[in-house]
Amino acid sequence: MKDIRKPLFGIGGALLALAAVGTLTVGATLSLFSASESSSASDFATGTVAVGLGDSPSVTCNVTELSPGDSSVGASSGSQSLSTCTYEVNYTGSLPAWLSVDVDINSTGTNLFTASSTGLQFAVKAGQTSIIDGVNYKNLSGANTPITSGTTVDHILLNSTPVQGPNSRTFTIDYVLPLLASNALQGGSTSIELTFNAVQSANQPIGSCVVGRQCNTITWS
Amino acid sequence: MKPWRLLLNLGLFAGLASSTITVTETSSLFAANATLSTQSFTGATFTPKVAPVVTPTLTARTIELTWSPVTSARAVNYLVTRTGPNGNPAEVCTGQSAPTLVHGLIRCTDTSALPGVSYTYSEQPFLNIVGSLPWSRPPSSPSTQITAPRLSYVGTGPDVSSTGAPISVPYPTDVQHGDLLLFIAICGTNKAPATPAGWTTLVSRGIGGSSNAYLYIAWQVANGSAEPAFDPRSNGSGASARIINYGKFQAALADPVVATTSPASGSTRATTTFTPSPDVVTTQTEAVVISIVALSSANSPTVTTARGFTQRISANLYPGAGTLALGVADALVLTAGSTSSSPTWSQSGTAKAWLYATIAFH
Repeated sequence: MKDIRKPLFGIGGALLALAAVGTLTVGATLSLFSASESSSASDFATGTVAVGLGDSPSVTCNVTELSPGDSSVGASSGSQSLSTCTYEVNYTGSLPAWLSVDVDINSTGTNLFTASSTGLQFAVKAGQTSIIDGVNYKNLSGANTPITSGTTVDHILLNSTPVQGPNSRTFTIDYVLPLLASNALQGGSTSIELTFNAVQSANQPIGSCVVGRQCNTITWS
Repeated sequence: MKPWRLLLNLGLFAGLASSTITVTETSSLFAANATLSTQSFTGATFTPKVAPVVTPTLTARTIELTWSPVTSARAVNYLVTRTGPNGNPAEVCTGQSAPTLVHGLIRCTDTSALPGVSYTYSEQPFLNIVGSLPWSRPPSSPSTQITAPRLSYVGTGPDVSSTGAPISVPYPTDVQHGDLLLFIAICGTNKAPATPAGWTTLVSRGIGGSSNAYLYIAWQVANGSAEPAFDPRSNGSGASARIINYGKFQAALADPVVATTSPASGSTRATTTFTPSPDVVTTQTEAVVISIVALSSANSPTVTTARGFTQRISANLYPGAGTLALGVADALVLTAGSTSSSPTWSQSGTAKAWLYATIAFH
């Protein structure tokens, strides 16, 4: 009897094990041996990745009648008499995240920004991290790269280790119109727009990205 | 392999395959972004965009320039240029003569123009920022052409009168060394006054009868000497005198000289209107021709047909005995050898005989 029952008990155990592993697929074909039991309810909540403005008020610049030599108080040259543009932004997500900023310089008509030393210069910073210096950003390898007006410089990395919210960042934009700005720039205009990005850091190694440089090896959206 | 082991292995594999698919479906990244408000920057401009045209105006010694102001974010300066016959612009209105805003207009003075030369003027607004490539607008269109006379009327001193005793005759204000000064005396009787010391008589003409009067004209180059004494030498008859000033356009120019070989003078019968004759012929370029008339009555001599002359004086004089009148007009004659057509004068009231003189200076 032992010898006969052993194999039969072993086969039945294997079937039960399969039923337990693949409830839908196997259970449907073995309905005669099915059983069900309700377990206690489980709650699942996703983490969040969210950004917004910080508590400090922004200073939005609408600078008109810029003349050669005019500059903001934080600029390294010029009159240093005009307001610095500032934003405070906040990463409020619960998930560890990478942060970055996109910079879009644009113009309609005559462009004050000429991507040269005689056009409008910007100093965009996130805290002490330089994002734009004059007319250049740093690419992935750290090389100064002139900005092309109308083409967004995306994903300048802001942190080397993942951050969780709340985590605020202050962006400042200083500017100077050099003394050697040419007469052709008279009446020209330029705009600059920043986009603050956050993306979960889980499953996304930082790789060769460095703070203050463009980082496109991370998937940002 | 035993059948149950095969089934067990298949079930486990199925379970693993199912887990792999689930992970793929949930691997999209959590991300967020926020675009911040746009910062904008605009370069300075000038208003109006087209530089206003300069209006040149002659004064006795300079050419005054005016134009409407241009505004910008910074103080606007102006580069003012003068273009002469050679076509090469030269900067003017510099230093002490730099443009300034006066009564809503930008004004400056060209102190280096030459008399007898036709010029146009232009201005170019710019931002004068030290070390910069000045932002500017294109220069204005050229002004109307203007030619400065070598000598031009500056003004007259006060009229002084006497019925006998000598009196001193004040100089006009704003006399400068080298100016042309004309001493003009009109007496209510046909008797010449004494020639003032240091002056050169140019015209001395009288008329008797009902228009009894005398016209005396002398001249000198201003030299800082004391005011001249006027002795009418006509006790009982009123006489008036004054000094008029024709300023030299540039102090560096040579002193004035008489610019006609035959100053015209004389008297004519009492008529309401009168055109002096003959006309003078100039002997120098850039001459000022001066027409002077006198009457023995306060009949307000007035130029009625100018022929290029500008009336400077129309004065009725009351010297204490009788009344007199003086008229002075002048015209610029650029070319030597030209005959200047005299203006036509008229008088009011009962007509008196005309005493007249037409002279020219360079």
